[in-house]
Amino acid sequence: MRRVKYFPEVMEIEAYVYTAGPVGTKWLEALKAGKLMAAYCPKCGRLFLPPKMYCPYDFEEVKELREIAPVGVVESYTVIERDFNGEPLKEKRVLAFIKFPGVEGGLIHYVKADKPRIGMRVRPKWRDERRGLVTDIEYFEEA
Amino acid sequence: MTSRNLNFKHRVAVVGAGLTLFRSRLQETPQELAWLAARQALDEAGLTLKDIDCVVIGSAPDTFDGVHMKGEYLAEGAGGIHKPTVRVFVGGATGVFVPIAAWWHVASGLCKRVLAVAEEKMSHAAKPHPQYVFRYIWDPIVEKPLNPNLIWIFAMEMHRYMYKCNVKKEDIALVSVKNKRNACGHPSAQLCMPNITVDDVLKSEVLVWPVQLYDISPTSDGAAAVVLASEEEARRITDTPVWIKGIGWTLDTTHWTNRDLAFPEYVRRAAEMAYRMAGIDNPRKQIDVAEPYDPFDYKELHHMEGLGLARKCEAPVLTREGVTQRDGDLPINPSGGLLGVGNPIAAAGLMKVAEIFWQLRGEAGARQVKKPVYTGLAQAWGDLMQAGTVIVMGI
Repeated sequence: MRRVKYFPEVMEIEAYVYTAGPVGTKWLEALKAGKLMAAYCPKCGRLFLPPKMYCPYDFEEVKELREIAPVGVVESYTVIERDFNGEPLKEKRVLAFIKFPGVEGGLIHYVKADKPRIGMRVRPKWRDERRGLVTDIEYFEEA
Repeated sequence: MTSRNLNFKHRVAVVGAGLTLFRSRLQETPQELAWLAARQALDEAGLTLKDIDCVVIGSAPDTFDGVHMKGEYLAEGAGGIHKPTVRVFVGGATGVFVPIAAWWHVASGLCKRVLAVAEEKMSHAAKPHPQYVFRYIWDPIVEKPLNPNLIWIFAMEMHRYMYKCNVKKEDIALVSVKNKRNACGHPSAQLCMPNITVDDVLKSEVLVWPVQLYDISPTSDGAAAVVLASEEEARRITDTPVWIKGIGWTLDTTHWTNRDLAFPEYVRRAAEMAYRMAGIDNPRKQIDVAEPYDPFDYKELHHMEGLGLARKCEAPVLTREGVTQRDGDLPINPSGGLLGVGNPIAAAGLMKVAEIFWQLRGEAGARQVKKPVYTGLAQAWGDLMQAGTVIVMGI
């Protein structure tokens, strides 16, 4: 039997409001000020990203962020050619996993480069108007 | 009745518990809440994350926190990275299902020390209201087009229970008054109301008759954690382990039209399973203190009867006579329950297990019940209001 009744509907919650947490909030405030920071564990001394109020390595409480040099290294990248719906993008975008020397973890972000490569050193291109979001960095560009 | 000869290898004990504040909105992220509770439970057991071999996570719908695959997301805060980690989910019954799942990790001999963490952050589901998460739990053919609200089920159950047992709203309101007053002894509590009266409950706004505002627990953020260990490990960790003596869980049909609305059969069956294992044949005499699930005041009564802690229709009488007060003969929800401490779904169920743990160790502080207690019980209830989970603990 191929003809069945269908019920169109929309799903559940219309809007979420996410908490950045105490440490995440400080990190975002730093971005707004144009500074890149990493969380600092007082026990093991590691700097790590993403920022949070506990050290993922030894479960210690973390309160402090330390500024890091805003120069990272591309660990891997991809070139996005189509959007969510499979439509071709007018302009291809490069997305990279960027690590920072001396920091555990890293960031995923866009990189603007004609010829991206693994191992490329990149630095943030800050937006003029910043709102305390990870997108305050418009993209990373070759350092 | 003697304990059924169950085929498991190890006795299992709870050796530590942790709890965050319960609040309508907490500043920490869901991962951070999980960490706060997990770390406290580890500290209480005198263990570090390195001592843990397996992790069990419990959390209700992903749509509350707004992070799909929430179990995996929470795993880092729950200490589950690079360890055998699993998330369990049976709706509101999850909180008690977390230590049940952790129990079989240890009882099977697979793991020796298990961290069990439950978290919920309902405040993320900001608009229109967290309960919209429940809009799509209904049968799409016969129910969804009516646009049902979760409270409708409770209202129908409550009314049927009132009718069948001839219970007045005043009697049911006594539960809310007791629990919201009990909560004043709880450092995590969201709704301590030391001076609340039956009249206040009866005068609160009617939501879905007969359910009124003070008949219901609030929406909350929070996390809870317990550490479980095998007998050998437990004796090394502490002089006062609390043993898990019985576990049980059952599911009834999702069609509320096909259930007994006046009596929670799903809880009776889950309790029977746990009692058989624990060797309990007269729960009213053998259970010293209990934390039945109380998201609504009438549900405490309902669940007491399902658990065999009262005969059918007897729970309101026991409540009126003061038997269920903290200094009564059968203290019920000395923590303050969901009505008083708050209701971050999965975390609320595990909070009850933590409360029984602290009560049996004599560490419940201002909440410590008056009579000596040796055996306690925690119970939760959920999914489409038809899942029952029960744990019996003893010293």
